[in-house]
Amino acid sequence: MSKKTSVKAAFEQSRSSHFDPYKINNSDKDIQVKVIPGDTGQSSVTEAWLEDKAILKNHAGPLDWLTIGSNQSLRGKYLELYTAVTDLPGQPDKTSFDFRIRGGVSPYKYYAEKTVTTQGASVLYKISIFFTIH
Amino acid sequence: MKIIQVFFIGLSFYCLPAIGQVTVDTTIRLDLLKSPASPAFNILGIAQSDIERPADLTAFALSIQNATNNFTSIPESYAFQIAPFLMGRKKYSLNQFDNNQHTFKQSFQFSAGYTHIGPKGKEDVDSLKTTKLGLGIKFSLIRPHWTADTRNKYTVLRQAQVQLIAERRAYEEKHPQYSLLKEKKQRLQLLEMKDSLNEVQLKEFNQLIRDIREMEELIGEEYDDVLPDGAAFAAARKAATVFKTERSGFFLDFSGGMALDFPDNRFNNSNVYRAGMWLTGGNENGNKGISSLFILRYLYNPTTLFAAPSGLLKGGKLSTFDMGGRFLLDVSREKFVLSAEALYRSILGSSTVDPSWRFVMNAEYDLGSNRKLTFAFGRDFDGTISKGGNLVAMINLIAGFGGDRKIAD
Repeated sequence: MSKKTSVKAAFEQSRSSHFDPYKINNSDKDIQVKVIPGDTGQSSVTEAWLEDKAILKNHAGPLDWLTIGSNQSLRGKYLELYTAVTDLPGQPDKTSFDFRIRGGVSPYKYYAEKTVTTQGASVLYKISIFFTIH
Repeated sequence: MKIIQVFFIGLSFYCLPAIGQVTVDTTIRLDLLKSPASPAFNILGIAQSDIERPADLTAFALSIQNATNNFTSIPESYAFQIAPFLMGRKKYSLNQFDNNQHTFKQSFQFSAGYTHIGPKGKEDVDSLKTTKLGLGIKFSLIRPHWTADTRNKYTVLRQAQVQLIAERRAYEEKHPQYSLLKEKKQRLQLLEMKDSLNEVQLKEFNQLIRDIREMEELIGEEYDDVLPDGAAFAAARKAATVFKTERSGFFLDFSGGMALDFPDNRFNNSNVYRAGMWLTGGNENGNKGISSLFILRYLYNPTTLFAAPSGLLKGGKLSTFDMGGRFLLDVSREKFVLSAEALYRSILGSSTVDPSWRFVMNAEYDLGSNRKLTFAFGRDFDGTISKGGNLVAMINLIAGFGGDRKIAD
């Protein structure tokens, strides 16, 4: 179920919102997520909800392998992660969102990017993940 | 050497058309230019100041110096600097510039400079002009943190971004498709709880995934259209455009470089003109009040030139050790900066050349729109072919290159 999205494909689709299932197993192994938001010098904030419960609030910058639960505990749950990226004057105009999961059946990666045309503009990225054994 | 000159001039013209783009009405002015601090210019001995204050880097910068003669002649000194780690795959978010975890990579710069002038005191004598190429590196050992003002501005920006996420969630919940999306998500959860799925259930399972993806993307696309109209978007834009990195506290930078001289302006005939390394440190006051800086510098000159009745003669190796200080007064918040620097040069292991000193007063005025006017006046170190202190008197216009971008109304 999980898929790896190539940079080229992401550039072509250029969507700020996405949904994917992520295949897990019945083990106690941790599931971790990582977010690399924006280009160098841009400002970003990430927040995440697991089944409507906030698990990450007001996180600035990259998110480095946050454990969100075990394979078993996440079955049938939705993760909703939002990242706001703001372009700063003098910095690259391209904003991006690099999201990864590990710990399940196989690693997952999703990448999207959007180029802003105005100084100080923001892009809001959202990814929803459904944890499944099927 | 023409090749190098053509390269630099070509690079300038490549950048120049961006300045000539259509002017867009704006309500916010963006002045991002920092005074260039290029070790390549320092090692070539043509920097306006020998003691440079720390500056946050951009990935690429181009400097042009000695635009004198009433700006009627083509400048004869150029330098560019690259921050290779800021161009790499590793990305650094804005908040990661406010700690010392990544100081080395964020501050490391490589610079290359080119000049075609005569030796000190005889810069404009055509027969003595030679081409010199300078290569330098610079990085911070200790970098000061952001000022309270910079942190406050960042906090405002971050709060606006949190608000953006809240607005996005609120939009989603009010979207006409939201109830249907919820239903489909719940149905998917019900199927998930089954130990195994038959063919029909699996088909439904996969269809639900496609439907949910499509609806999430649709809501996202529609939100992208209304995003610029939101209050949080405007607040984030305002906070981003007024954000400017200012640092205060103790800093220590390491620089090193080497300059090659091409005495007969032929590429295959070069020699090392000068090599050296130096530490610059002090207290940076965040563009407010007085900043005090110092320098300790070792320079090695493999060949020196001496004036003789028959012309220039080559002398022996010469090592020098410089130490000095600089005080900067920010008269009006980086708009007008006055500074004075003094350096004493000791000659190591040679009695042929006397110790020397340099004292230069410097004024820098920010003209806005990425343009700065600088003026330097004072006494430079003695050259080996001219004594009594060379006069430093130069006016430079520094212009920032780069693409203009529209500012949203």
